[in-house]
Amino acid sequence: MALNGTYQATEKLLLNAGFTYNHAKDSWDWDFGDRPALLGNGAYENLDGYNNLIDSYSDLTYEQYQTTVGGTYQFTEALYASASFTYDVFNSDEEYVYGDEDGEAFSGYVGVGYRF
Amino acid sequence: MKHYVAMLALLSVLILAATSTLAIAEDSSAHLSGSMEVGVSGVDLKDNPARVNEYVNYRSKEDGVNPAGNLNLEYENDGVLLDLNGSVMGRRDQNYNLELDYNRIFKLDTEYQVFEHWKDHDNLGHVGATMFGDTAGEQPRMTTDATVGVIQGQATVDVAGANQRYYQELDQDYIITHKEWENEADITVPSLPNVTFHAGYRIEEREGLEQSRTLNKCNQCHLQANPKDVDEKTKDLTLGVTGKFGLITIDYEYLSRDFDDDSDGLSYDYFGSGGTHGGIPDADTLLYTSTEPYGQTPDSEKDSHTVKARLDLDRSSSVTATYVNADIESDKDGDSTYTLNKSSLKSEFESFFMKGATRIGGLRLSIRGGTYEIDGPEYTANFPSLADWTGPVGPNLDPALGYDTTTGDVHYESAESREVTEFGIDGVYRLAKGTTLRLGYEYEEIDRDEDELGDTETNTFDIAVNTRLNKKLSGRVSYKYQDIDEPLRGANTGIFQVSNPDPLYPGMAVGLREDYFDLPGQPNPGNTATAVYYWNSVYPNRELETSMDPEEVHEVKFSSTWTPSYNMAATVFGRYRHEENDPVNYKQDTFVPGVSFYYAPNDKMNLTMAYTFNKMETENQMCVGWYHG
Repeated sequence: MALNGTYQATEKLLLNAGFTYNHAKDSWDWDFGDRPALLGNGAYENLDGYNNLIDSYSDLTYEQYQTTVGGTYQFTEALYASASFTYDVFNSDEEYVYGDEDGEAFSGYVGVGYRF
Repeated sequence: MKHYVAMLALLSVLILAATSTLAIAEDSSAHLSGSMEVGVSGVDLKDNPARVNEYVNYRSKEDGVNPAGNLNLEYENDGVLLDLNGSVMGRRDQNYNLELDYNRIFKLDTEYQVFEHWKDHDNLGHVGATMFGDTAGEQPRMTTDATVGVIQGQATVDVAGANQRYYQELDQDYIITHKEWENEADITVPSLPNVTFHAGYRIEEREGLEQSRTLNKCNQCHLQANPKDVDEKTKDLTLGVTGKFGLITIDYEYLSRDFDDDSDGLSYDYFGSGGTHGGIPDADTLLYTSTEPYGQTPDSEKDSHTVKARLDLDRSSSVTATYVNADIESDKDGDSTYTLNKSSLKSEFESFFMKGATRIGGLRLSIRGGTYEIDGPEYTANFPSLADWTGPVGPNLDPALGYDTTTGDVHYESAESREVTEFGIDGVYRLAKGTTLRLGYEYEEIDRDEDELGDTETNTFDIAVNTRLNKKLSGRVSYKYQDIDEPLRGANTGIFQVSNPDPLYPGMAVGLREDYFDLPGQPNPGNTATAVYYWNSVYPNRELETSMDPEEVHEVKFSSTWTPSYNMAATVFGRYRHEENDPVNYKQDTFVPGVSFYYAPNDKMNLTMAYTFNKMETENQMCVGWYHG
């Protein structure tokens, strides 16, 4: 889902903002417990329930949020200043495969410009 | 620090060029416009940056600030047009583009970009990797908590050393820096205005570190990951010419591509199996029991020639034809376990396609068809261990099938070698004002040289209706059906040697293990061979289809846009796709509905919104191989 907007607050100030949300979920239904017992061989038995972890390894869920705000202020027709700030979040429910992937990032930019 | 100095120097040059041009513009009637911007970008990262900052924004992994800037410049004077854009947001977050047009005689478009990408880092914990027996290798090795439980009872394994290397690998940051410089130039000589010469040059580099995984016989246990130092370079040179001669336009392009891999080589100690099958000890299961390289990409070269011709008969009728011929050659050597009968592998690609389009009354008709052929490499690999064979030559070891147990030679044909034929016809008929009906049919036949992989035949039917009911409402609905005979992926690769009634699921079968070296009571008892290899115990027994490609596809799409006023628009769209392959009990359903909305409540505000939902459900049978040895 994405929401974006721009707003001319004053004659000199233009603001912009955006928000993006992404949710992904995977699951796998499988009961492996009965199968190894067929062979009757200890090497293949479902000791400690490891075999049934196979489908739980696929229960992967993550969420991403990105929020951006920014603006441009026009000092004169030519001289202006711009700034933007972005906050990113990644949350993963499980640590299978790639470990703990949770993270946050704050990024920003401030600049002064001249149009000609 | 020197990188920042270089970056600032480059930005200074761009600003100097811009201001110099500004001064020139003031002295003439030239048009100059643009903007210059200097600033600072900064990043503060918390926890793991690999996903939240996957396509690196300003900085990859360390908090801090960078000098940054943007330059946009457009200059026009007396038939000369210059467009320059540059953006530096960090040392490895840069973009530059220059377009130059000199009186339409000479055009240049050059672009350079640098960006970083965090790569996947599999911790292998989900595999429950065991590295039992790997006591001699000096490379880092993967172990897990589960592994420690398994190998503690083995006196020869240094668990502490294995774990130390595992955690060393976990600490690696896998980041690849991409650099690409692309140039295209066109020259049109005024005395020959209908002919344009083209030239292009592109360099793409990948540098950094990525995880490289390999396996040692059975991948559920003997899997390893190492950091690979990547240094790859691809260079493209293109030369061409386009000529317009009356109704005919002819275009020719030559492409030369070189790929060089200067990455550090990785090696791995492949070890033998301690298992037995039917009382016979397993030999070198993969024919590898020594230190061998892995994770390497061979250097390669590609040359291609493309000729396109287009005949414009009138405003609505045209015929186009395209011919492509390409040669690809890559260096390839054997190692201590096998040798090849050639030092390079060559592939040839050749294609010819034609398309015709015309209008007959209210019907727009287009017909297309053609064929292409991939002639992949054929070569012989010699495995000395294969010549150790002392058992009988059974139906699966017939030299005619590629196994020569006297010389150790194995003949290989490329799975890519094939002839493909395609044909398609589309008709668009105007049903009423603002409403069209489209009908389409497409046929594809893939005839593979390797018989084991089968031939695939696909028939595709399309129908779509486009309509504009009024000025405010429009829409489109389409349906596609595909019938696919022998879809390929893993044809005849499933190992299912003996079928027995499944005591848990009446009516189904369960497979039990049987080696080519059969046990007493099995179909081929009494085999006196002294070694078990993959090539004589596993490969010959592959007989089941394991494809997950569909034999039937149904797909419905729709979209509708409502525009009640000049400042508001809403679109609703959806897609449903159903795939199935009955022989392997495969079924997949995909639902993708969504909406988008635009609204400008006044002349100061613009709002946009978009939402997409994607759901995919897959059902298929699975067989997880359990290896122990």
